[in-house]
Amino acid sequence: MALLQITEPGESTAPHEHRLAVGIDLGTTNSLVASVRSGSAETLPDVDGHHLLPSVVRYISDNDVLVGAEAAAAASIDPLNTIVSVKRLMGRGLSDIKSLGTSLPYDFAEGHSSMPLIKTVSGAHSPVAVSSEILTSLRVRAEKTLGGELAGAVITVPAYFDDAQRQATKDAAKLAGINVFRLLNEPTAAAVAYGLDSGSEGVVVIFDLGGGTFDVSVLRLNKGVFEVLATAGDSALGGDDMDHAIAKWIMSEANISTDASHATLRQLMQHARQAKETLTEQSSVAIQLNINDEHSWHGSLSREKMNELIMPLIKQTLRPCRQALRDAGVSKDDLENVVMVGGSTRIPLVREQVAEFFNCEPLVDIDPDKVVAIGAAIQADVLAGNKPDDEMLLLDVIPLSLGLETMGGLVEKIIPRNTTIPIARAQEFTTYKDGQTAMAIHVVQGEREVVEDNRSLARFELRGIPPMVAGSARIQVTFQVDADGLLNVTALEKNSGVETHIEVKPSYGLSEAEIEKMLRSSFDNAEHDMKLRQLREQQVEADREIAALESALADDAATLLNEAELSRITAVLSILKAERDSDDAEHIKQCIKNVEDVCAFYVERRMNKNIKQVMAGHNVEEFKASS
Amino acid sequence: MQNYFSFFELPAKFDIDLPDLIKRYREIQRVVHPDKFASSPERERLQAVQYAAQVNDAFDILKSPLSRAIHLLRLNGVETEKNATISDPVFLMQQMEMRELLEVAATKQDALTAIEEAIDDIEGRYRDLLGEIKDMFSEASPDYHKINDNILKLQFFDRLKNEAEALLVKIENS
Repeated sequence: MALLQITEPGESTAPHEHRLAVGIDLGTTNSLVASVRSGSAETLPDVDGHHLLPSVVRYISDNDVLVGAEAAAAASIDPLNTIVSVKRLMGRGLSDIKSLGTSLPYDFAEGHSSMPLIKTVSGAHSPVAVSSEILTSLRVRAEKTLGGELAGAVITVPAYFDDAQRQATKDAAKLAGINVFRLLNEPTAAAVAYGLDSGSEGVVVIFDLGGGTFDVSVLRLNKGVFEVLATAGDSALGGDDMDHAIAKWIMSEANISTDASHATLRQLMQHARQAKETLTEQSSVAIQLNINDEHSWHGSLSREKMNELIMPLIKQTLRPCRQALRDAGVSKDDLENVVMVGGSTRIPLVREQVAEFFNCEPLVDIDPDKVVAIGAAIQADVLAGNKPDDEMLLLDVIPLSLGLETMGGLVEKIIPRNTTIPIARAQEFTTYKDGQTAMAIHVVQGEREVVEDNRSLARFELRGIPPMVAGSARIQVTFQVDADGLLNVTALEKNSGVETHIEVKPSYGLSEAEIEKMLRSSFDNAEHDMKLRQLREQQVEADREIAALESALADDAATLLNEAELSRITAVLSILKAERDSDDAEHIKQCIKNVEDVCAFYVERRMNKNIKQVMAGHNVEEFKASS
Repeated sequence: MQNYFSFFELPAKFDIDLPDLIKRYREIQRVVHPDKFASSPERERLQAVQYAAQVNDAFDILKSPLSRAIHLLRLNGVETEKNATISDPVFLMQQMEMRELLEVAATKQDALTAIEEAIDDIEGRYRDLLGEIKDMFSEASPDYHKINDNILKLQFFDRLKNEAEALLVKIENS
């Protein structure tokens, strides 16, 4: 019999191996990467000591790409090739962008599945590809600073991001070669950083106003449990819109026509942003325009005037605040604190309005730029397995209701907003024609009654329904939202037990095939690198499988398995261990699948045992002591 | 059929200790939540999502008195229809009156306060009815059909409250 490595339950087979994990804040205006080092979470600077990476990507003619400050410097001289605020384009279709209001200079082309492509000198790029450049830059920075390959990352997204926007973020990470442990909602990340720092308990509001998105979340903090009670927001509202309002004012004062060149518009936005930031400290600011020798103007903007211009936007943030409080079932008096997150919360008027609305002075002494990345880094450290005894529990929610299109263009809600995730709901359908073997389901996100007023998520085509008389098929469709907030659909015909095949057609996103294609084309030596990548992926998964299984067996093989079961498991395990070093990815994959199939019952048995143990008032510590 | 009480190893009664339920819920989540399996093989990750989803569902159903009552009834063989009409004439009168009150409140000068008062009233009646249901469940031989009648009334109050809140939102945002 093979000798099993006996390890302590809960620890990996290499107990002293610290895995490199980071938290990434992929922001509209700035991005950051952070990691837990020597017990504390900190943001990682670049070689020049800058922590913030401007979320700007510039494509240069010789197939080269610039990311960050260097790219930002060229924003006004090369507007068509310098992409700013790409986050606003993630998970969006061409028609969304046209109605976004803020004038975007880019030259768009229609890609697959209505995803817009930005035409640049080096070709047409999807927002996913542009974002992946920013992520790659951060990954490289982290690996250099931490001295090794990353085990994985937690990437934050606005809580109000819908399925398409989340999936786009995950796709961008895949292209950047990052293993995503989890997508984490920005307000929740901020709550983690704030909660662990302050040791605070009770109900807290996170008011997160960034460059392009707004989230407000109500959370309950209690002994390491971060429970989101409700979340609301606007995924197209932020500092950029304030810059736009100020820019428009400058244009009217300076008599610049609205069909000015893109370069001019960019420069105006930069002046507007500069003025806005200066007015945080000063009560008035001088503006000197000298654009392309065409428009020469100087004037001054007072804080009062700016407040007048941006007040409508700030008022727009209060509606979601009201809704979140109501959905959470809490009143303003129940609140422990209101925490300000995101660069735009530096603006004095924002703070005043928030204080007035919540009847409470908001907390402003945590760095609003870094807090999200810090929170993500803390979670990444836990998810990487560096803290096996950590008691932190994040219970997040789905921000928008999920519904199905029904007869007459109406929506039937299957999962209401603010339901704790993961969650699964099943719905039964039947066929309407004799012998019907396929069926389409349209899933939408939003709160409205009519399909058109909601956001289309995807169309799911079920195929392979066994032919039957119309109305007799019982197709159970399960809608499952995972911890990332992403929807997964499975279907089963109950009479026959046949699992129908589902083809997903995302309404605003890339299909699996498209992503693979992009991955392939990003490698110089496509064929070879692709194979190498696949081999590595399988080896990593094999290692995970081996480590998990050995740890489990050491824990409870004696109590949960009989002789026959144990010998079947150790047999497939031995094979996997032997084959792990093979250079055939497919072969390793097959060995992994064999182990999974054989051990499926064991995984379930263990899960049930652990639940029962905890319910009976025991915990793993007690069990350890007694064994 | 799933017995959500046994999931948390609790007896199937209407009157539960809510803090105890919350404690059990969190303890199970600490074991099954997908975050605990972020570095584990895919099989375990998928299983965790399934389990966590089940726990969330069970907790959702048991923590709210209305859905808990409906679940208890189901365990005892009585199915509650979602939008069943109530035959009790006295209650029907009451329904109409409350609807009218709401419509009037919406037209008042201080509509927000009037509607909030209407909501307070609905919540008061809801609580009273819940108290009745609790007593009915604790009888030696509960009359599940009578309890079901009360649940239909509770559902009506719920719907009315949602309408009132929607009205509030409309006025606040106009």
